[in-house]
Amino acid sequence: MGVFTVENVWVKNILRDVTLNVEDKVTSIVGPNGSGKTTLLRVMAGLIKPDKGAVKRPGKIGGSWQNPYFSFTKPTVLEELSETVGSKSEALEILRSMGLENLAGKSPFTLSMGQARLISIILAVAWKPEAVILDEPTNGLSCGWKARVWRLLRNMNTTIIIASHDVEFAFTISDKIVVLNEGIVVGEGSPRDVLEKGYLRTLGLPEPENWRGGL
Amino acid sequence: MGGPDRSLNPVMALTLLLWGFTMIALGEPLWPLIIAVPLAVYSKLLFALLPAYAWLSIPPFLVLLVLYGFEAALETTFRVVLVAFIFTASIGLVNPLDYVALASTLKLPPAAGLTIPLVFKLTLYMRYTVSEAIAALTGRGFKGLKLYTKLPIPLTVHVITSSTMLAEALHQKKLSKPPWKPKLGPLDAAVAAYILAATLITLIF
Repeated sequence: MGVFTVENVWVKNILRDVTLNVEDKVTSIVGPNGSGKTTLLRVMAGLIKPDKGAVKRPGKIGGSWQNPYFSFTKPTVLEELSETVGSKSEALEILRSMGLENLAGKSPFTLSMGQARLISIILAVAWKPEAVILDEPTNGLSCGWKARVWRLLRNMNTTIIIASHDVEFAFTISDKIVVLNEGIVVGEGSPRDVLEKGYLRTLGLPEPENWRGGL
Repeated sequence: MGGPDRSLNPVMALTLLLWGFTMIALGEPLWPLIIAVPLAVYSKLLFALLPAYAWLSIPPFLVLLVLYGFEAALETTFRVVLVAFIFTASIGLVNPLDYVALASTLKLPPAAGLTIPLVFKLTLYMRYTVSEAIAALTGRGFKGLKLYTKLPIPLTVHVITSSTMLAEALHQKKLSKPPWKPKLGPLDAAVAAYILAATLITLIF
């Protein structure tokens, strides 16, 4: 499992003195539009160099970003996955385990947004990185597809960092929630802590109605 | 940081463009350079377009260096970059819809007015798109040469799909006859005064 340490990071006015430790299995960053979630993920992935501050990150980081179609380079989903895992049989097995074997022969560029996002996430985790960064992984996914993503991520033995508007999903899957607003970390803790302290309510974000984390 | 300033009149921008080319052709490139660089900075596009300038200037410079030597390569590359600066200054400071309106006024197809601003918009968009694609492929574990050999594939597909969407969006906008009231602001007056002064100085001396 990879560990991230973000220390006093500034990126223009987007991130302001952000300090964060990620050691848990699944950490979700939630916040309103424009709060700096994607920028923080990019800084953590090493895609943006912060103006100030330091970031320690694992060596191998997988990622799936907002446009899943950018992850594709092969004519079929099976070839795409085979290239990453090394063999067609193993790739097919992964697709079967996810109930996606019907997509094996399809062009990844013709998949629906939900299917493409799921394949993009599978490709991001299939090369066994130490950590995986996912930007809005449930955008465009129906409930059934979200459940598949949930199963895939919870069964992995990797550090996972998610940025999401989907508060229900974030609370259901995460061990730790980080609440970001206007580039500042306004609260962090277990899902239960974050709810009890009312961080979401303060920002006008919806609280997860169906989360049964013990409250 | 707000968006780029768009207060230049399109007629003034085209005048600047024409004058800049004329001065370069007359062997007086310094005058357009003096006004084009500050205007390009003012338009907030200069730094955003630095990779495009590099892409535009470095390959020709290298080719000319091999063929004709350092001095000729430097002189030609300077002219190429200067033309790019003049374009940035004169096009980037105008509201794109003013070009559409101007084209309508001149009885040209309105879409013709969008061509040049679109090139600039697309340059910025391409820069964003390339960084997105690099992020996605890096996230799959591709690095170095392998990453860059694979990069054209998702980008090509993206160009095709986004072109279709762009065409639909332009059609939806119904860019036919927008109301247009040409105005001359302080920026236009400053640019006009500079063009006049520089031309007079060049002609006199």
